[in-house]
Amino acid sequence: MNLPENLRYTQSHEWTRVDGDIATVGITDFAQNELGDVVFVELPSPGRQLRQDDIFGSIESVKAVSDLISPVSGEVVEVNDSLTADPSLANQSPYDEAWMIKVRLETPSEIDGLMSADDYKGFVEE
Amino acid sequence: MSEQADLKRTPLWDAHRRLGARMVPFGGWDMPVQYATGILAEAKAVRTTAGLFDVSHMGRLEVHGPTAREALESLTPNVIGKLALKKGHYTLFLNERGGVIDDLIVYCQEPNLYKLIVNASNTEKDCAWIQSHLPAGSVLTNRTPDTALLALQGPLAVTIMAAAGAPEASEIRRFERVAVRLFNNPAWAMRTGYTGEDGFEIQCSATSAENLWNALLRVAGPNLVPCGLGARDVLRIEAAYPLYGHEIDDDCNPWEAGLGWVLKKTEGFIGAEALARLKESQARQLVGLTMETRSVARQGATVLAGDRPCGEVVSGTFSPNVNASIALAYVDRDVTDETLTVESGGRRQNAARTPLPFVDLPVARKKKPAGLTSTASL
Repeated sequence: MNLPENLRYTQSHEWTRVDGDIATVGITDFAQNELGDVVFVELPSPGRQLRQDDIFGSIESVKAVSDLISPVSGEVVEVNDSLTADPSLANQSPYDEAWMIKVRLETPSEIDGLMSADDYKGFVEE
Repeated sequence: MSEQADLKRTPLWDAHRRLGARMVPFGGWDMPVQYATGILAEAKAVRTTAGLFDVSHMGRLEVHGPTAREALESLTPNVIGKLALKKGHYTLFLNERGGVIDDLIVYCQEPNLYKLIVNASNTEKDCAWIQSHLPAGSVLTNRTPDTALLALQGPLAVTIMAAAGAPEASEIRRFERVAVRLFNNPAWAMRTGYTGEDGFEIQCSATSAENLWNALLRVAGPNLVPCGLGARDVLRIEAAYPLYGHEIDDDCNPWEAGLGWVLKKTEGFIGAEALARLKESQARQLVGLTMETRSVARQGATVLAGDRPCGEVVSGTFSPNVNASIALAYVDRDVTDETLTVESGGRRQNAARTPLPFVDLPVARKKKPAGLTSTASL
């Protein structure tokens, strides 16, 4: 299981990468593997205000559909249109090409409450 | 974990685990839903090269004895008496209300011996149903545990059978059941499958199953992809083949499901009287839908004509061969709209009514005129 050390993780299998006041959000390698072939991703429009734990979209595989849950609060400033055009990126490149949204952090301390790579590894192996 | 302990395992369970299959409970069995390749690649392989499925979970029953024919004649609406030796046909078990207890294939193995292949989830129900209607002189046996059933499906199926030592398999006709030797081991080959592609269902002993599975994959190399139940479901939806629990169930009649062609008799079988009454009063029709987005319309989603709810989705998937989300839905009989709406989880999307099947099926293509093929067969 690929779990980059520099990311933070949620129990609903999103990852977050922080650069200054921007948080980039996607789903983990574990999540894409559990879903199987991803065929559809629905993302919000830029400008949408999110609170932590808001549903910001959905992801569907042949077999399942799953909500996407925001790890942080803030405004969506950018959305990955390449991913909605080619949802299979979520399987091929979950931490890189398949990033989903960029959020301008409103409450940076929320990051501290997210799991480290080690904590998340322990969580999914439970 | 405790519920998994009750699941049955096919003779190929170890082979699936070794191939990295993802296992799921299905009809009481622990079955591969997909391998590392993934459902979409597997479903594509079956329409371009070939796929290999373990369908050993399906019930293999035997009705044996001097009254076997009359027993099955009274239990099914297709004409058992017309089955030549080694030939089979698709048929149904119907209840007294004309509802579908199960769909199945019946083969006439010997004059007094019929082989039945039924749905895994219905095997016990079917056994009880047959048993309760079995006349004196016939015996029902469940052969599922002693044997394995593999499905080799796709345009290269004949080539792979030849490579396995059975070039004569190309001569086996649709729904014919013939003894073959594959890698020098005895097996039964049937020219059937549930994908709409050419291919075979191969029955062998439980003990020889894993060797046969591995040898087929070895001899065919990259042209044969192990396929799980996920791909099987995609392929049967593309082909618009009904699956019990989706398009058919105990409360649905054969006409609604598009299975009127199976009803070759008008009397002399359970359900005949009810069907005679039902024929004129079908309330709904089964339609094909191609979705506007790639979002999958799943079982239970509401179908609307304009703003009026008019039915529901019974099967839906993403089809890699159509490259779109497709669905089968029951809608009211009077609905003629070419564009419908599907609603699930509060979201709506348009769906274009699509003729069935969704893909061009080799098994449904018109045969060439006899004159063109006669030289090739001699």
